[in-house]
Amino acid sequence: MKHFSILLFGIFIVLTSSFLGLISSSLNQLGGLKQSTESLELDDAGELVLVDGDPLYPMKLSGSSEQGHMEYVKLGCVNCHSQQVRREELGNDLQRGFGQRVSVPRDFILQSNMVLGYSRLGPDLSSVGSRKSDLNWHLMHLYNPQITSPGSLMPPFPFLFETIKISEVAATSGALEFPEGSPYAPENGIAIIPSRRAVALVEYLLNLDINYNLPEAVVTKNDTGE
Amino acid sequence: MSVSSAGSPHDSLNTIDNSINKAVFYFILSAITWLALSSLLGLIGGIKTVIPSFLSTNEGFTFGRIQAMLNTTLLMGWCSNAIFAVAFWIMARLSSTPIKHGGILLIAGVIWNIALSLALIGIFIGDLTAYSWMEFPSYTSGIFLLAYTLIAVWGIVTYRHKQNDYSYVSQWYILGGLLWFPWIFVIGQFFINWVPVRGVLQSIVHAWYINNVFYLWLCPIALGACYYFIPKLSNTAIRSYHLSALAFWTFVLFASWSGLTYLIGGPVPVWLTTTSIVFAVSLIIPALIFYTNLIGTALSSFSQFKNNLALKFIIFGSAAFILHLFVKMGLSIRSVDALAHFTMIYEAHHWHLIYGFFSMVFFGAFYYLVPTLLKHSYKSNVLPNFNFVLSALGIIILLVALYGAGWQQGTQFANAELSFLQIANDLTFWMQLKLVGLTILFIANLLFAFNVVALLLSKLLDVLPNFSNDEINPNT
Ligand code: HEC
Repeated sequence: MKHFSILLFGIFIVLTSSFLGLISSSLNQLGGLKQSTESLELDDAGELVLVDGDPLYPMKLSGSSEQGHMEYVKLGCVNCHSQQVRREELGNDLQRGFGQRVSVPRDFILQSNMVLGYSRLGPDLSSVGSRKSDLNWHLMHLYNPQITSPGSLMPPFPFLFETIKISEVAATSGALEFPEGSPYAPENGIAIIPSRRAVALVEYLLNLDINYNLPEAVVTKNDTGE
Repeated sequence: MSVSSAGSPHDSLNTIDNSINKAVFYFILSAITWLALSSLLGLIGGIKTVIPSFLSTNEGFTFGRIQAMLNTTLLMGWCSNAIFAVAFWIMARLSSTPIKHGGILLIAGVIWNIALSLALIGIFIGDLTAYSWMEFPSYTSGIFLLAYTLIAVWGIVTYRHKQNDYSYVSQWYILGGLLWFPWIFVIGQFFINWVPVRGVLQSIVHAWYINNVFYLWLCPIALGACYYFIPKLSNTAIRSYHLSALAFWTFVLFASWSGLTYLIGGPVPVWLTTTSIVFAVSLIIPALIFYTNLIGTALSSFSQFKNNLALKFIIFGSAAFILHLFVKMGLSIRSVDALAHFTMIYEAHHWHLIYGFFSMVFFGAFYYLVPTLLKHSYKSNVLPNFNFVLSALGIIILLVALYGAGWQQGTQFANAELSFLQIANDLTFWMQLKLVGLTILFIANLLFAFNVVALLLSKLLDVLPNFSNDEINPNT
């Protein structure tokens, strides 16, 4: 019997220790992070100074971006896309323009469905909104990636779109604008209209941007000259 | 040894086997059903990475959902049911305790499978979570937990009267695995779904969860099976058995702490990943002992190994596992991670564990268990042997394809001139090879299911005529 209780005790200690050591301690360290209005910026003399008065960062997503985020989760985009910019020595994320600074824990504090990602079959999307800001491009790309990126391995999401007949008079606002002569364009008199889900998803993508300053993370590659 | 009403040891083995028969068969049949489904899903996923537009008009079949259903059927379907079948049987055998109240076990099994079916429907219609290997919708987690609680209650009822001490390392692994799982499950669900923490804390819990489900649930049970079957089937004592206790404690402790290497370079405090790296590298100690204990024993009885089908599977699995551990150590080194992170090397590494190790060991266990329980053996070993060849070939091709693909991706990531469109396009060869591997595994898994069911049917056919001839005996 003695043997058995030692065994049980050991079994208990193994998992508890790794829970306390890895999870509880991170809860302690990171649980208190808040949005910030401060940022480190370069002053005229080229020194880093702490400046107050930015908007609250990271910013809260608007209602429909939040819905777009849920679509991102439900469609499993996380299988092929990451949302984290890694440090210089671990790859060339900065050089590739995934972001102008590395991601830090504070960037994510408002998120409750984390999509950091573990695979990059497609590019990182941390700042895709600032890299690709054309609504029509994104919709077209979702409808069928082959239109914008021939040969892409990304799957098409045609079920996020509706095909409708256009009457002569009705305006076709919101319909996809296919490139001239695209083999994927519908016949005359037919239009492809994005559903609300598609619009929300793209709004979310357009809002993805970590190129703002935080006290602990400064935009380093600031070529917009802000 | 005083086993209830049993005279000879052989009788007592029969009592034990009979006591658990129904529940074990239920779990075996569930396991092979989910395995067949998972290999279909794997195949569909594989086709999609070659032809992205395949089955893309229906939302439920989109790549992300297929992947989520695949992970869920593999982990909660095949692996879990196989564990329930084999673990309890080994425990019963080793502690010479006949299983009482097998009925609870059966009910628990039914509830578990209901939860899983709901989970798959939920994923199909879009209720999946954002977390790999725990994609099942949060509303099913309570049902899984209920089923597992029944199983645990049953385990406590049974082993309260255990007759032997816990003197075999197999028993430690299995007891550990069975106790760790619900706890890991609850912690994961609690911090991610029930009372969600926010931000990278979720990613930390998630990484901890995946790692512990793999290394403190799947691995201990499969290792328990290895330590049980290898000496038994090869008729030799485990080599350097005295080291096996050291391997047990170092493996479970180090593995449990090593989980956050998944987050190397991510937006988490560096000390977290560093800690995990230290533990991951320390896995060299148990890995070397496993090599001596498992492979060493098998090599010293090589002739047995060649003729025994179950043993072949189990040795293949053990070898794959030791290799897997070395890859894990390698991946935890920062400079290797710089190349491997975000590539398919991780996908390869997961298949390596789940198929190369776990499934192979459990195929072997089933090929021993099913004939033993039925007291009916294969008339010809051709199909089971063919199963081994196909499974081994399929997983080797799949791993070569995915590790190869990942390596190529990693070297190309480093070249900022190459666009992701280009990099993904260059993977065509590897993705086709992956599809070949998945196709072979698909056939191998169906053959496995066929072999198990065929044996059951042939036993039934043997038994049925007796029923019609004899007076029906109400006790059978
Ligand atoms: C099977 C993997 C896969 C899945 C799933 C996937 N993508 Fe992609 N994605 C890619 C690949 C590969 C590329 C690069 C080629 C291209 O532009 O199509 C890409 C590119 C992109 C781009 C362009 C990024 C840039 O900087 O050019 C966006 C935006 C995008 N994906 C969004 C999504 C969204 C949103 C989802 C989920 C609805 C998704 N992806 C699902 C593989 C995938």
